Amino acid sequence: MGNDMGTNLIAAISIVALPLSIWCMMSMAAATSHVIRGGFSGAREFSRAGFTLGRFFSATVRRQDSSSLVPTRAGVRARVRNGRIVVSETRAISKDVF
Amino acid sequence: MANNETVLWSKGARRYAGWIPNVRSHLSFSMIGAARGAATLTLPFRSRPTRAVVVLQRRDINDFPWPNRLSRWLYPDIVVNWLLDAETAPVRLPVVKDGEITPEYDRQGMLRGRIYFLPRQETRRDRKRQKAALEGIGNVAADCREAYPAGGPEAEQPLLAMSSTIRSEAEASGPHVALELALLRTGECRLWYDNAPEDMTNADLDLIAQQAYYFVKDVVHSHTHHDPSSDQITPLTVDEPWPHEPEHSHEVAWRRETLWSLSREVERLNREGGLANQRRSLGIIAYAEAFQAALMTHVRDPDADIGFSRGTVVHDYDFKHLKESIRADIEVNATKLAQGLQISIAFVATTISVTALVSSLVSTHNGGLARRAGAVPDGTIDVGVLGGALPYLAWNPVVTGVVVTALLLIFMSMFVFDKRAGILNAWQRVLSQFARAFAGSVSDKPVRQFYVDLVLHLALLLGSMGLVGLCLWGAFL
Repeated sequence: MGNDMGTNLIAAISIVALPLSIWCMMSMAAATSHVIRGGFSGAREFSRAGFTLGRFFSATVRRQDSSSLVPTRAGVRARVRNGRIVVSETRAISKDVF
Repeated sequence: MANNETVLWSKGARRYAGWIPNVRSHLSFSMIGAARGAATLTLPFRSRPTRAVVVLQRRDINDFPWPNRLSRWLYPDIVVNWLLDAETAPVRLPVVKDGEITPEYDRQGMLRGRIYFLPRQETRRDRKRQKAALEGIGNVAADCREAYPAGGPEAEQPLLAMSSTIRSEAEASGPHVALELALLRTGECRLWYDNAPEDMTNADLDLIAQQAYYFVKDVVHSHTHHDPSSDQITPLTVDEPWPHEPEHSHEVAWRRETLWSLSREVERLNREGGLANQRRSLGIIAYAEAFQAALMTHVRDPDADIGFSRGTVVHDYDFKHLKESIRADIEVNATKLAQGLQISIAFVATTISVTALVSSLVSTHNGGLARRAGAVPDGTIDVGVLGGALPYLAWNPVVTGVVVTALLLIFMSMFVFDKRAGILNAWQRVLSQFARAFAGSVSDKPVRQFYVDLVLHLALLLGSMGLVGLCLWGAFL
């Protein structure tokens, strides 16, 4: 009985997750195709923007200069320390860029 | 009166200019906050032609590759509260008629006020005090809203007293930074510090001013043609001395930078390709044209009698021909896409129908043959691979249907769909950006970066296909 319930639960979750997983798969297929279409020139744009793992995880992507076609977005970290306001910028690749 | 707007910010300790994109050159101050989730109060005074605007927004700009909740836990200082307290004010707008600039009076043409930057406080007690102040500001605005419908001088009293109460609450909330704002209906946005904190560097002040600009953009206009959280197409330009080239002073520079940024975005969208991007680029051009028409015709000039002089230093863009070129490209790409879709549909439909037709003919043929017990009738036609695959295809028709559909969707996602037309999503962008960053870390050669990026994307695609398989296994086995 318990085993049946577990099986049914797995089946129910899987049926709900199936369309989502198909959507994810379609997204990755489209993204892979996007990389192929961008080719070496697409990679060159990211290379010029200095986009690396360290900058990606620490949200310290370089500010977009006027010759770059990789847009960035900026946020701020701000806190009060010893009565003083301390601010620092966070920067990531724009969400418009896949 | 001649130069009253310029005088407002000319004495500022540090000054900035930017543009809030709008295609009508006529921002609506009564609609502030309607597009984004900010606590907003915008009410007209009954006793004078002025509108009061208060906006309170908690902004947590998550630039880290983690879900918002996790980022807030790891980096609580990414959450900043912003307060705008402003009123509309009369202004003269420069209108070009017959080649001459004529100032026209707009009695509510400018939103003039103060922005408070309220960062995360140091101790729990300080944070409680800030929270109480923010709640107090919310209550003041709620009282105004509640009293207002009754009408009459008494009902307006809370609104008349609102600004000073709100500012007192903000200033008592703990260490903060205050900026002055003048926002004109044309979208021209001026920010400046009347009293810049002495212990902050210019870089810090610029950073806060930029964030204040994004805050104003976020609550004033609705985001179109770009992701709402990535509204950095139009820059905020610092007013800095430029003595070696006076004709390109700040008044010219911020206009030029804005126009160039819009133009660069058009270029980027067209280079990335895809119909959705190209259509977005037409939208950006509409904004650039509006900016060119409303703000490139003049510059503010304190020495001129009317406060403005003709802007002649920056060459205008020829957007008409650019639009024609993009439209032609859109037609070509749309035709290619339509043909690709037609060929794909024809291929799939023909394959299925021919297979079904031949299978049914074979069944009909085999069914009509004379049968002997325990023997295959003479003249039986074998359907080859299809016959061999039949046990697997028929084992679970639902699984077969889903697998074939998934393969078809992969094909369409890779080769037929416009990649930017809604398939890509937030988590996929993070994974793709991770792949890009990884490629950038392992090599500085674009060719190698491309192959690393591609291999990672293919691995992620296989992983997502595995996820589909897992769901099928769980659902139907």
